[in-house]
Amino acid sequence: MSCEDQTPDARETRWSAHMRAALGGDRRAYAELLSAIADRVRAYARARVHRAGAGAEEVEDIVQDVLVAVHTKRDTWEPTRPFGPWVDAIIRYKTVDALRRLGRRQTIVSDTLERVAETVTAPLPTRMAELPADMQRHLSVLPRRERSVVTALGIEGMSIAGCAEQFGISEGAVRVAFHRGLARLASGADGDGPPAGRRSARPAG
Amino acid sequence: MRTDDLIRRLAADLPAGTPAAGRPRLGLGRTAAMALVLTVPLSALIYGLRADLGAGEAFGVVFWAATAAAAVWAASRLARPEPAPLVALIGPLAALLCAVGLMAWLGRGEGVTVFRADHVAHCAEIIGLLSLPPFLWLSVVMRRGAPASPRAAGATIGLIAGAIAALAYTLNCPIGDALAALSAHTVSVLLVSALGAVVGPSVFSW
Repeated sequence: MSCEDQTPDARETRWSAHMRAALGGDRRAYAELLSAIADRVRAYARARVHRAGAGAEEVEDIVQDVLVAVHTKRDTWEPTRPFGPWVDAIIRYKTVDALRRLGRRQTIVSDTLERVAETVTAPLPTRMAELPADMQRHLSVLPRRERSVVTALGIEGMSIAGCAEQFGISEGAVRVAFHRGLARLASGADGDGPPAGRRSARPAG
Repeated sequence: MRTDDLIRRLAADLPAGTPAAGRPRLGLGRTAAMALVLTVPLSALIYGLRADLGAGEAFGVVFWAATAAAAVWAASRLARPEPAPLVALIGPLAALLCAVGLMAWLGRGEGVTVFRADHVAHCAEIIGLLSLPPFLWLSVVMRRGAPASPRAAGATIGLIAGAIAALAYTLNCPIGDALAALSAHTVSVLLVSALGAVVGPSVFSW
């Protein structure tokens, strides 16, 4: 059934007659009516859905929502009343509902993207207290000098020269403390957790 | 699923049907009447009947019957998806609020304290409980409808259920002064209606 070439009055008469026939069990009239309603929904929803940033798939979802609603709520149409305002109200209700859901979905997506962006652009931790708990636990088994050097070089990104100046030791001593610290961490990571037994194996400093 | 396939399935799902003219209405009025017929004896059974029923109680019964009838009309209108006239949305509630104002004014003129907190608390509890079965029953019927405004539909269903409960409880309420009783019942019914407005969007969306 084509609806574009009809005046509103002619369409009303035709659609009402089809709906009455459908309620009486005429499946062919019903299928024709549903096809015409689908065309009308597409025309109504397309611009609104595109304005909301969605595409043809969402338009078709709305079309199907409306058709199911027309089918399940067909008893709320009173045959003595015009059919056009009834079906238009269903189209409006379902479109608004879909746009609301679409808005919520886009909010969720943009919130997630925002959180990811915040995580990616967040500055790296620069102090021992800002590190994750498990990293702090592993570092705590190192002797104080090795822990300070590993934290300064490996986490804070300090240069060897800057590190030597800060701790008042030679650059060679910084390299040695760094490599020993890494080796100790690696040997701890091979076993079950940090090598707790070694915590007091060597005097700090 | 493709839309053409959906249309074929929906058409195939169409029952043989009955002639359009003979189709049954939603039946909110019939359900409200049946709920009233059941709630009055239920209230009498639980709370008893006042021995001294008089003109004040008769006025209360008529008042609540009229409120329930107006709310049934509004609910029948709101159950259809077409935009409801403004009077269906706010008419019954506005009339009830006017009645509250009138009662306050009359009460002041006669030296009666209306809207006493203890009266309201007592009646709200009983009317709330008595309105629950009609509210649930009417909600089942309203869910078969397609209200474009689920919140207004909820408020109106609450108003019908509250008015039925208030009518039933008017025949028992121990508050001596009819005006004080009516005012306490009115606040209780408005509370039930407000509750309906709160749950409306979750219950009546479709």
